[in-house]
Amino acid sequence: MHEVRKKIILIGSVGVGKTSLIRRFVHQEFTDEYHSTIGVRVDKKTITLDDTKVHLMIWDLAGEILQNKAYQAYLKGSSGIIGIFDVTRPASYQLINESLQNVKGSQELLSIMVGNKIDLLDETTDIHGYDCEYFTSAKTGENVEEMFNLIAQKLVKKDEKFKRI
Amino acid sequence: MRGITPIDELKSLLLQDYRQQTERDFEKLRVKVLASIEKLEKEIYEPERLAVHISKSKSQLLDILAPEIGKLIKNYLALEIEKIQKRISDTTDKFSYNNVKSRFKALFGLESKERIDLLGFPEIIDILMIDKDSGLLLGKFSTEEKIDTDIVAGMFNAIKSFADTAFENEGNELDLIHYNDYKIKLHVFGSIYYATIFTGRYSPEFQDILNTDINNFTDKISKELINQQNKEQITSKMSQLMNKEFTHTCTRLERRLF
Repeated sequence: MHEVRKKIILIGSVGVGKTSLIRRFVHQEFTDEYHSTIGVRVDKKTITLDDTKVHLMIWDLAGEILQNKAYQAYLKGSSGIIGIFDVTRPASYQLINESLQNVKGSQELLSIMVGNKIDLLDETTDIHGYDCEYFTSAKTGENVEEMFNLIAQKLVKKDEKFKRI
Repeated sequence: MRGITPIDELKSLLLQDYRQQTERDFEKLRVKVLASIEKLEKEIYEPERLAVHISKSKSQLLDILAPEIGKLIKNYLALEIEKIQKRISDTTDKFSYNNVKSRFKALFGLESKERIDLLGFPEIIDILMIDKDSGLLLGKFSTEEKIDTDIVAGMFNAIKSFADTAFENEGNELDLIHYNDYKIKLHVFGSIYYATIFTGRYSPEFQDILNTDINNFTDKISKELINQQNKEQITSKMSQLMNKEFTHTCTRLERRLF
């Protein structure tokens, strides 16, 4: 079994649930209390995919950082980027969609869009207008593990493709 | 001017006997008082006689003075006992087995933790090799497995990125971080850097050893790094090499400093 380390970054507006998603995935925890992330927080989760041990280094960037000039420095060397928005706040989708397009334009990054807080949806809310890979709930844990595993799989596959070339 | 009146003359005649008796009584009293004063003076200036006197009145004196003296003695003794206890405790600590052991160990280089505490000598805790862009850990040397080096490497990189961006115009780069008893020295080489976590003083001698060994190690592994297409997979191999190299550094450090 061989080991690989991958840096992935979570970006999104303030309060969309980036830290909660990481807490759910890494520590299997959730809290209703809201604490704004200051600057950057780095976490780690190791998952095993076939014969590869993947150490995911997950960088949680504070929502305000999108306007910070250090933001580009934090993106350096990352293999994947996850754009998070709050399904109950359409404005958060618009903002992160644009930011993600800008980042993808400047670097070769694997990226996915994730709509969080689906536990807050009622029957009348239409989410079909959102173009994203996953709808998650950090509160219930729905799709959280799957979403992180998907990005890890994609990153390992990308490496294998690179080796063959 | 008024002369002697008939009444004055009458008074003199009638009280003459009384006045003479009073004068005699006064003279007797004066002699007695003077004798007593003389006796008292003698006793005061002759301690032996005073001692005898006190001794005879011992029980009365004790009754009067005991409560007051008792309080004074009690306070004095409590204070003195406290002082003695502190002295005993300090002395016991100084000469306790553990204290003596650690002092000997510190002096003879047997146990580095105590040595550092006592003398401020440097001790390397970890050396992390970190990818400058991603902050991913490329290799590590650890004397204590206390921290998750992956997370620490990531956080260093976040701090470094922030500091380098914030002070970009001055052309500065983060060099030394102080955190409680720990210090983190950064050595930057192109696309990688080393973060050496240590305790104690960053003395010139320590700097010399650390700089030399990190430079030599980087020379050794530079080809390996260049040839490695995927830096994300070299951590365990690099850690083995670092372990071999920097164990030797720690030994050299101890020998040079003692």
